[in-house]
Amino acid sequence: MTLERATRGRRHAAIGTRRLWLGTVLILAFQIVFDFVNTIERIDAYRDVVPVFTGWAVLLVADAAIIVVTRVLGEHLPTWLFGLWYSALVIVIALDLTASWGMPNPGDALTVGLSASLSLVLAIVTRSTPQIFFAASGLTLATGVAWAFMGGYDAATAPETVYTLCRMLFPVLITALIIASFRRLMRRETEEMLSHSAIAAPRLTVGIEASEQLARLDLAAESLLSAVADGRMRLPLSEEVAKRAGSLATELRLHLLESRSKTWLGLALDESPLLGKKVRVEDPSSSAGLLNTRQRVALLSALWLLHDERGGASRSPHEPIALSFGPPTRAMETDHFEAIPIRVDVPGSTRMMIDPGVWEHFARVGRYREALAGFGMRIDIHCLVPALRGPARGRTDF
Amino acid sequence: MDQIQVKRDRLLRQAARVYGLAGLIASFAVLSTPGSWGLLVYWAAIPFYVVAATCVWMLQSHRTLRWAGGLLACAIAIAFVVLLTARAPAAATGLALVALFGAAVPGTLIALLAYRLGWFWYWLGCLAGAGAGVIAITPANRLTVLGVMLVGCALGHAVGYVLSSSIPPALRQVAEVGRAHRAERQASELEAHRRQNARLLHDTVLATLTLLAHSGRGVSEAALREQARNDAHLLRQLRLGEPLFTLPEADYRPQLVEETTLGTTLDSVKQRFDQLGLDVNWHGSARIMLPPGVLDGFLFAISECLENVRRHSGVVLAHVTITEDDHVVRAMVTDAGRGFEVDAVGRERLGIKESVVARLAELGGSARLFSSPGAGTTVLLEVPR
Repeated sequence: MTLERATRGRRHAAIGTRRLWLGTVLILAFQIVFDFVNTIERIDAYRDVVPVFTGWAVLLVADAAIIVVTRVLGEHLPTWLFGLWYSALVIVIALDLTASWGMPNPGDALTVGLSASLSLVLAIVTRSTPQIFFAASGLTLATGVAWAFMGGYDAATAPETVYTLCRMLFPVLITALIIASFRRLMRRETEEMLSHSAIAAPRLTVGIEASEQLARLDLAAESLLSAVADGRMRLPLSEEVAKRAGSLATELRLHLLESRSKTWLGLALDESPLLGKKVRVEDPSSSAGLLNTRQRVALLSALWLLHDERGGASRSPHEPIALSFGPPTRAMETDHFEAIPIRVDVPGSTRMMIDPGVWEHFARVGRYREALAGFGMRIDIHCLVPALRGPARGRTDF
Repeated sequence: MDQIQVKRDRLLRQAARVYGLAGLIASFAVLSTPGSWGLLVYWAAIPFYVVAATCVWMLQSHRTLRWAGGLLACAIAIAFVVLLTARAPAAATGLALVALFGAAVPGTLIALLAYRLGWFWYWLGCLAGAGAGVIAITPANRLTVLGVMLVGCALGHAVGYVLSSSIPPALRQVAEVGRAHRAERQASELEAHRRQNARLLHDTVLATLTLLAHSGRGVSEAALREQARNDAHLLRQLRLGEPLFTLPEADYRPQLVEETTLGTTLDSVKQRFDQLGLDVNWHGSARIMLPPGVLDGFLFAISECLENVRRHSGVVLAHVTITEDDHVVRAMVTDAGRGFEVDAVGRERLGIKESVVARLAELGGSARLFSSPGAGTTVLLEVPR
């Protein structure tokens, strides 16, 4: 189970990107055909055609190899292979620059070099965005510097040069950034999905983590006891073993007494780093556990919408959203219900900035009132839950 | 369907921002080269670039159509600035317009592709832009430039199509991961319940571990070994998921009240204390109807009291009397041992209070203690049924 959790990060990255990768391969193929036609068109202008065609050969082999490797390794590209491939791309660009050396307008003469730069999109799924960023900037910068030294850069040809440099850099950057936002979107979707699985929890629950810990303690106790039982450990026990038994007993006791203190909401926040960073919960009486399924779904969905509103990395980091649950009190209206006061503080937001869906969700949790408080909104929800005693309390199936 | 639409909209708007801004930057960079620097066309175009960039940036808010239209208007205005101030070098303005109408405009308009009939508005905008661009360019280059612009528009459409069509399968995949996680969570929840509800087992294990921690003083070696063997066996059964003899372990099951054979369970408690050297006599009902969770806590409280008798009373016999009426089940644990002054027991001895009183209070029950020096001890335990 732990292994699975370790690989979950990579699963986030991989979700749905295969289709995007295929799309980028097609666009790259299109660019390669386009640039190759360009090479053929100016074949008479080259002093020597060997470098440019060598460049084409190297590029096609390198790209084909990378496509195959990426597929075979299951959307994985080791760093050394990326480095090797990147140096092949550098060589291709150098060959193209050599071939167009001495042309009247070298800034306009880059052909295979453009394809080589765009080839970086092949690694977009497997490498991180900053890496792609630096790689593309490096290629562009090197080309620009080479031209500056070649002397092809003057007022008359400057627009073409700048245009070509933009064509080298921007397509890769655009693709990288789009893929990054796709990944962010999917990560958020996945986390919302995972956090919703906490809703089915009973009033108080233990996380997956705590349950594993208890299993470990049980196993430790079992091995100690069986060692005593079959005489592998002599009685009376040595001081060290006795100490171990004592600490095991203490841990086990603590676990049995305290581990059932988490509500579904705590669990959901624990398991979603995105939401956990933006929301703080204060719930000393574990009242959140009394909410029924509908109320839980609505509350969690509202929190996710609020999270999206403040999601932009461009905005200054806000204070987290604060949720506080009061203890349940007998509702005035009837004896069959208890009221739980829920207070939501959304610092730094106004009513205009909050998605209308949030209010719909809050209305499903209970009667609410919102007000401006300081630099943000404060929402008070009056949440009614059936007053049940005994083991039926906190059941979610009504 | 609605969900898919929302995500598609969000993704395309983000993509449009990046794509459109990059196109604008490229166009402006080309225009900023020495040839056209400082000319009227340059200065006249700058405000339009600024407004256009603002429009693209604002695509993150929801009025997509308005901002996309704003960008298109700015781009066309730039084309007219170029047309009206025809003195600028052809290369710079031509390439700037190509970047503008081949990348910035289609890039921004892909935000429209999320909507129904979006492709129609997309191409309408692109063609209008390309038309304005072509008019502003020197006649000799018109055909080539139009071709490049249209390729740019087609590329934009392709990007938008790939993005919007990759959303539904990705969301399906996310849902699958969610389902798998829910199953894992449920299994772990059941497992946790099973372990937590095996309280009686854990209580005996705790008692044995505590004895071991005191190096097994006060108990015969054989009894301690026997006890350890039993407990290890039970833990093994728990680990392998086999049913534990009489432990009512399943209060998460739908039925809330079930008849449990209290007799057998009481017997196992008795056996345990037998081995530890305390004789327990049972009186009263042997079959009690109690919800499993409550029964568990009740038995735990009784065992805890018996453990106290064994440790502190100085006698080897204890009586447990179980009575019941319609509302309450009671157990009275009595010994004729040395007893103690109830008020004199300081706060430092939290054993009974923590374990018994707290556990019964959790179930809605109570515990009362009667004792005086030399007169034995009686504990009265009550749980609601």
